[in-house]
Formats: sequence, structure tokens, C-alpha cells
Amino acid sequence: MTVTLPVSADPAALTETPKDIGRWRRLPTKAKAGTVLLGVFVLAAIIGPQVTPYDPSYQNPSPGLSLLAPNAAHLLGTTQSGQDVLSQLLVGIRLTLELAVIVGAVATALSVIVGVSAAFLGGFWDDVLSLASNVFLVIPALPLLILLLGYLPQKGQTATIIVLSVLGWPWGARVIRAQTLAIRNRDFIAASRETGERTWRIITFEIIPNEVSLIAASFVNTVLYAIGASVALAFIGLADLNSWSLGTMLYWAQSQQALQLGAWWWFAPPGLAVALIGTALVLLNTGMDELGNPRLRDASKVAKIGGRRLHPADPTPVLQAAAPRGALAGFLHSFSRRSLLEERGASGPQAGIAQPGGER
Amino acid sequence: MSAARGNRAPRPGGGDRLSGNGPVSRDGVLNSGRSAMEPVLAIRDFSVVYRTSGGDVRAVDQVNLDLHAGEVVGLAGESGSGKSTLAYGACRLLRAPALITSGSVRYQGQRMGTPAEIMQLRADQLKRLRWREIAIVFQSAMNALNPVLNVGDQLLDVIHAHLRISREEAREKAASLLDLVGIPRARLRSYPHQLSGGMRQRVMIAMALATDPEIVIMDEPTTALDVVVQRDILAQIVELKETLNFAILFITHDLSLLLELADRIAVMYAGQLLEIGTASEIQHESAHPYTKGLLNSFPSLRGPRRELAGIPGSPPDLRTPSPGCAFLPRCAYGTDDCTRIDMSLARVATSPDPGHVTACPFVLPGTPAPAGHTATTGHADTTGDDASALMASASAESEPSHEELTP
Amino acid sequence: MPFIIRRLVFYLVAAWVALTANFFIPRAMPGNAVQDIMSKFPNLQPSAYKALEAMLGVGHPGSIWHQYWSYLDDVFHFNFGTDVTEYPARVSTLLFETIPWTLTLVGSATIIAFVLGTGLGIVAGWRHGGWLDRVLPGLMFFQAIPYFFLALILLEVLAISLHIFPLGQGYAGGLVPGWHWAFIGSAIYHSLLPAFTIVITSVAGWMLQMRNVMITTIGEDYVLAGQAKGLPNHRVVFTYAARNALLPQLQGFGLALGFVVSGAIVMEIVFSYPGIGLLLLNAVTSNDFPLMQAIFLVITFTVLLANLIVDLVIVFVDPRARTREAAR
Repeated sequence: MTVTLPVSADPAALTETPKDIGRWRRLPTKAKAGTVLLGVFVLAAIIGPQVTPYDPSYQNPSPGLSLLAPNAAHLLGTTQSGQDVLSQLLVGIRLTLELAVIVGAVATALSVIVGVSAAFLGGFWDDVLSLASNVFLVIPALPLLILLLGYLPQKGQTATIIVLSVLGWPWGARVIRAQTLAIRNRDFIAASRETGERTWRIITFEIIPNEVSLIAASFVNTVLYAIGASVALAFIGLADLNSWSLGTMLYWAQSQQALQLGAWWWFAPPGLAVALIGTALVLLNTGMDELGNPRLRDASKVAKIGGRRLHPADPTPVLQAAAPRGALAGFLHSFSRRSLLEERGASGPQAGIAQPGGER
Repeated sequence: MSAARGNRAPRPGGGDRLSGNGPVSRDGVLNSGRSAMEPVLAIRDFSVVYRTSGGDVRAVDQVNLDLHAGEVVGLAGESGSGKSTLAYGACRLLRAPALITSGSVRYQGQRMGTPAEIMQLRADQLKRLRWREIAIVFQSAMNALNPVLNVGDQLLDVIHAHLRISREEAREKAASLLDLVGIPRARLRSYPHQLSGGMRQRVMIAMALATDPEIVIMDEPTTALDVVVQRDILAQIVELKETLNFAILFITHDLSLLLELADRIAVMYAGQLLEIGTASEIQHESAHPYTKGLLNSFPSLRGPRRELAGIPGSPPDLRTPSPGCAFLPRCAYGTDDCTRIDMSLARVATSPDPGHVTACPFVLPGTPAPAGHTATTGHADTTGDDASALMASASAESEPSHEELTP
Repeated sequence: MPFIIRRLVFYLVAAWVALTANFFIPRAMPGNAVQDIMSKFPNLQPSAYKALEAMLGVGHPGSIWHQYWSYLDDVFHFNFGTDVTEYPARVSTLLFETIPWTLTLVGSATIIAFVLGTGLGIVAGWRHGGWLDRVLPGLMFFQAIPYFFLALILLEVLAISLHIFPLGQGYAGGLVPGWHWAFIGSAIYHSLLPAFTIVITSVAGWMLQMRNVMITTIGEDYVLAGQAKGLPNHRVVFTYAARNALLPQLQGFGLALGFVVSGAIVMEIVFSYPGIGLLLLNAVTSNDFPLMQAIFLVITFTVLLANLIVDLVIVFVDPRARTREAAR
């Protein structure tokens, strides 16, 4: 509120850093971390199944190979029936990611269609679509998913994708509708209307480009939801139990009492994989949040002046010239906390910051 | 004193002028008995910088300004000129990444034994000083009032924070504050969203006066209101000032408003003060080209028609201040010499008043502008908010000499 | 008032949609559900088959409307039919036995997590940049873990390896449920680890959300005005900033309830906790449709009710919601 000036946080700075610092470096740390982490798993998903050391379904009947702890031959140990956990994991990452991304794409597309339509059609249709979105938002997803999948004779990948997409669009639809309404009332849309541009063109070329970040965030959220839901469903047995997704691995681990038998290598890797992928997505999302909301970004950068953190309630700090000191006094002073607050390289003599708690 | 609104009986001494009697009356003569007073607020060499990753933005640059008891000082300038930053910075209310890089702000109110140097106060001392001595009326009352507390609670907040009185007394005081601004007492239980815009602003004013402050900073208090309500509020403010006798630092981009309301006016541009003078001096004998430009930017109801001039160009980028005068690219009088001046305020040579100062050493009141000037910045012409705002507010001048405004 | 009425109507509509979905899904799905059951449970009485057929709409037991009305009638009388796996137990009996366990565990843990998370979020938002902020990425990790997986880990570490907590179940074997201290004490002891799991996983989410809302709220004019008024810090933080930030936070809570409850229920499976979770697992494994449908309805209605309660709290906190028809 106090800022009436065009304060620019654009790090395409003046003299010190060159303009071509690159858009990557300018991203918030969270987004970068999330992308890197996600990249690892995407890579695993792509090449994983090609590099599995064993066939994940191969059940080795020899009892000596059952439930082996991680060793040289089986980097992540074996299951109850002698299957290699690592191979299953690699296949599982791809299956799970595949499913989640497809669901994400379909559900996000649906939510964009519903959201934009509701915003543009207005009136009765808007009410109907909004009501539908809200109803499906408030009805808990998992029980409904269980019901839907439970009745299906085939609980395969395709069925799961369809079912998850059907319940995955309401959240995004609501958000997109709100944003579209806001944009729709802006002047440049009215201008387009005045010049006779047709509605579908307005939507495609003016509105959607302005919502790209929102759609991206919605996509990430939907993928997150899809992973969580599919893993949970598989865990209680509502999936193709002959395939190796991360969720089914957990199902088998649980049903074969891996925990009680102490076979942590069976359930830990798939669970960790899910957790890490989820973390990567959350980081990505938060990072994108910060990109869009300058207040969050500034907050994460930590208000620091002269090396001291500032809280919102602190009075505006005042720059002060440090009192001139003799050699001994200066030496002793260098041990104090205050000396840490003096700015380096500030123009003029040593400058210190007056703490709100200090006075001359 | 009448607390009721609508008392528009003509005052002795002139029409429906808004200004009252401060220490310096409109024609520049000091009122007797109040000459040479210590200023209540003395701002010296005050500079504020915003530390951004793109560099330091010099929002306020070496500003010197005094505020005397009971005086109305107007702070005029375009958006982004730094006027709000100056006022909030003087109270140390600016949030990160603001940093005060130089200067002192000395406050000496009647309640204080010794003057307080605001730049050196601790946080708890500042809290005692804030509102009790220096209160603020914010620009947008809808945003400045807490949506979840009712009016009474917000008034009581202020009262209990600063005054040691019993609960009943506090409640009575809150109610009487509403009386003061002409709002029915029943509204104590209302929430901000239930009040009209004018009422909200009056609640803000009542809240500001709750602890009988010495100074009230008004940050564009009427900008968000329609003209009729604006008039009401301003009349109310003047009335209250007469009664309670506080000083006002009135921030606005609307110069014409200040010409009626203020005792003295300070004109700000790009973080620096360009001219300070009494309202009369600014209106009739403005010394700085920028002030002249501002005055040329709004029409008057009466007098011959003239072309609206405006000021070409747009405000400079405060990250890269150019040497000398910041106004040079847009100045009709500018020459190369202007890049070498030091922007300190000096007395206007032709003025009898030592308080009339300007930053431009080359131009005097009455110096005609060279013809055919265009801005050198190459930006689109902006006549500033001033012209558009002033279209609506009539400047009720009764001086016959408004022809002086024509270039 | 108008706000609450509108919300109530909305929840009734949602409940009706759930009921109708529950009715139509079995009829819409491919495959013959009854045949599946018959093949899995060949020992049921013929009347049971008949009842199932009626429930699933197989074999034209009457017009659709007639079925629908008798279905609704059944639901309102808590008649969910007879169970398949625990034949001849009635579904409603099974439900009534397990619901209290889930309600107490999930209910209290969720509320604790929300309050704790919101409180931490207020602190993190006000003192952003502090150690809480540094912990943030770690907390995000916890937010991304499926509840049941964390349960597995915690069970492994705290119960199996370190023997601090029991291995599962709702109470020590051999105790008879009843209102006596031994039982209650044991029940509480057994619920600690599951509750702990829920709290750890969800606290991060609430804290993150509240922190972000707080940061946005602190940038508002009225918080600055509160500081300008010289009010004590705690007043500014709580009554000016936090109380306003609480509104979007509560709305988020309502929206997230469905997920939290679902996740917690699945987590119960890991602990063999005698709540709805185990019931659900059994129902799914054995295609026990009556039970599945009943569980769906129960969970849905509970979440709807909880949402209504959250709306009441919002009205209590936000004066604007009392007069306007604030759309959520």
C-alpha cells in the first residue's frame, strides 16, 4: 500500500548482471527444485522399463529368493514370490505417471471447457454448470471412485483413467470460470467485441492465453490428485492387480504382510516414489504460485536489509553511519552482533543499520 | 462550535472558501501571535530508498519540510512523485524493501516535554507516538477499515491503546466521536461494508481524531469519493480543524483543492520538493516551471477560454536519476545548465516571504515560457491525474486576476 | 441467515445427487453384478439373492420409478440391506459398529491438525523468513505422502522396531468394549499412532495454506492501518491479520474435508483399526455391493454435514457472510 512507485522486481537489472541472465535463473527456487525432481522421475518413466534388470512379473519359485533384502543381485530386494522390486518400481513409475498425466490432460481440458463455457454462456447454463461443479467438489471423491470402479468388471488402466477424469474436473473448472469472468469484464475484451471479433476467436486468442498459468497450475494439481487417488484405489484393491503400478505394488506388499515380515524394501520404494513425485509437483505448484503472486515471492525472498530479517511490524529501518571507532574498539566491535549488520560496500564510510530496538 | 453537518452559513471573510485561519493566512501575512513558532514536525534531508533486485529506487530525495501547529500544509504531486512515501516514511510505516537512507524527522508536540527524533525511536516508543500524536487518514476507507470488526470496536481499539480510561468512558468517547463527524450513534455496531463511502471516510476521520493528535496526515482522503461527498468531507475536516486545532499534512494530486484548503503548499516531483509557498503565492506567483505547468493543467469555471496545456512527457525512472533537475525533460524553460544545479530549495528572489522557496534558480514568477516546447522523453503525453481530477472540482476563485494563468 | 439457508439447500441437492448416483451406478455398469456375487458366495439363501437383485435392479422387479422410491424409502429408514460377506448381518448394524471409531479418530485428528497447522501458519506468515520457512520444503514432502504410506513407515519404526506403540487394532485383544477405564485407556493408546499419522500428514498443508493467506492479508491496508494506530503487535496479528486470513482458510478446509476423510479411512487399513476403512477393504475385495454403497452414502453424508458446520463457523467469524449471500 505504501508503494506508489513503479517498483520493479524484475531482475533484468541495470548494470551488474547482464540482461541475458536467462529465464531459468529467475525462477523461484521452489519451482526449479520441483522441476529437477520431477525430471528425474520423468526420465525414469521413459527409459525405466527398458532398463529393468529382470522381468517384473517373473516369479522365481525358489524359496531362497523370496523376500531377500537388498543385495548386489537385486538392488531393492525381492518380493514374497521372488520378483525383483527394482524392476517393478521402474515399470511402476511409468505406469503411474502415464496414468496421472493422461488424467491430468483430459480433466484439465474438461475443466477449461466447462469453466469458460460457464463464464461465457452466463445465466441459466452458468448456474447449472456451477452447481454441478460445486456438487462434485463437495461429494468426497474417493468413495465415489470406489463405487464406480467397484462395479466395473474390468478395473484396468483405461477404466481408471476414465473414472478419475470424470471426477477430476470440478476444481479446475471453478477456478477457470472465476478467472474467465474477471477477464471477460476487462476492457480489452469489450474492445474486441466492439470490433466484431467472434466469440470463439476471443476465447481462443485473447482469453486462454491470459489464463495459461492458471491452466498449468490446474494441470499440476490434477496430476497430483490423480496420483493420490490411483494409488489409494490400488491400495485397497481397485486396480488391475496384475499390472505393476506403484499402487498395486503397495497393495501386494500390504496383503502379503510385508510390514509384519519386516520386508521394508518392498513397500518403502514405491511409497517413497509416490511421495517424491508428489513433492516435486507441490514444489512446482508453489513455485508457480510465487511467480504469479508478487507478495508471496517477496516473502519467500525474505525481507532482509543489511542482513537482518524484517518483520512486517518493524518500523522502517534507518541507515546510519557507524560511529567512528579506534582500532581496539573496532576490533572488539567486530565480535558483536551489530557489526554483522553493517553493510558492506555501501557508498561512503562504514554504514550501519539502526535496529528498531537500538538508539543512540 | 457546531458538530452538526450542513452548517453552511457563510463565514465572515469570504464565500464558501474551505480554508480557515492557520498561522499563515491566505495573503501571506503571518497571523499575529503565532509567528516564528517551532515547527511541530521538522523534516530535514530526508531520503527514502526502495531496495529492489533491480537496484535502488530513490523514492524520496533530500526533502526538507516543516509543519507548524494548526497549519494545513498541502503536499501536491503526480502519482509516483513520492508524496505518500514521504509521509509514511516520516512515521516509519513503510514496509520492506523501503530503507531510510538519510535525514531526521523531529516531532515536538504540545504534550511532549522534549522533542522526539522519530528516526531514533524504539519500536515501543514509536507505538506510543503513532496515532496519539500523529494520525493518518488513509486513502481508501474500505480497504483501511478492518472488515471483521464493527465501527465501535475499531474506535475502541484506538482509544484503549492510547488512553487510560474506563470502559464506559471509552464507549462514550467512541460515541461522541461519531457525533463529531455527524454519524448516528447506532452505527457503532455497523460493519464497514454496511456503510456508504462517505460514511466510511468520516469514520476514518473520527478514528484519527480519537486521541486528539497534534498532526493528522491525510492521504488523498477524498479521491475515491464523488464530488458532492468530497465537498462535505472537506468542509467537515476544516470545521474539525478549527475546533480541535491540529495540523494537517494533506496529500493529493489535486492542486486546485489545495489552493482552497491549504495554508502552505509543497510541490513534489520525482521524490524531490520543487517549490514551497503559501497557497496564494503558489496560485498567483508560482516560481517553478512544474508548478506553473500544474496550474495550467486545469480549467477554471470563470474567465476567458484558454487552451488546456498540461505537461508533456511522463515521470522519470527513479532507478536511474539523471543529474541535476529531474523535471528537465519535460520543462519548457530547460537549458543545459539545468543538469548542473543541486536541487536545494532557495528563496524566491522576488517574493517578500522568506518561506517561499523554489528549486529552480533560473525561473521567476511571471517569467514567460519559451514557445513550442515538446517533451524530450518521447513518451506519450500525459496531462497527469491533475487535469482530469480538476475538471470536476471547480476552483472557486474570486480573484479577478486569473488572467495571469494564461500563458 | 440467507447465506446458511442457501448452503443448506445446496447440501441437500448434493445429498440428493449422491443418493441418485448411488442408485443408478449399479444399473449403469456393464457386467452382471449379481452373477459375480453368486459365484463368490454360493451359500446364500435364495431370498438374499432376490434382495440383491432388487437392490441392483436386475430382472425387472418393477418400474424404475418404483424402484427409486422404494430405494429412497429404505435409505431414510437406514435400511441398507443385508450384508453379503457377513451374512446374515445387516449392513446398518455393521456400519453402526464401525462409524464411532472412525468418527472419533478422524474427527479429532483432523481438527487438531487444522488448529495446529493454522496456528503455525499464522506464525510463519507473520515472521516469514524464519526457521519455519526453512522447514517448508520438508513439510511439503509430508504433504505429498499418501496417508497410508506414512502409516506404514511409522508403524514400522515406532511400533515394530521400537515397540512404543501397539501394532494395530482398536484396543488390546481380550478387552470387552464398554464404558470402563481399562477399555477407554486402551482405545486411546491404540489411536495415538493413527492420529499422529493424520496430524503429521495434514498439518503441513494447513500451515502452508495459512502462511500464504497471511502473507497476502498482511499486505492489506487495514493491517498497515492497525500498525499506524499504534496497536500492540498481538492485536494486529490476531484481530487484524489472522482473523481475516481465517476466512479463506476455513473455506479451504471445507473443500479439503473430502480428501482428508478419504485418506484417513484408507489409512485405517494399515493399522487394522476397527473403523470404516477395514470394512471398505473387505467390501471391495469381496464385491460386497450393499456394503460398498452404504459406505459411500455414509461417508458422503458425513462430509456434507461437516461442510455445513464449517459454513456455520464462517458465518460466525465473517460479518459480511451474515447479510450477503456470499457464494463460496
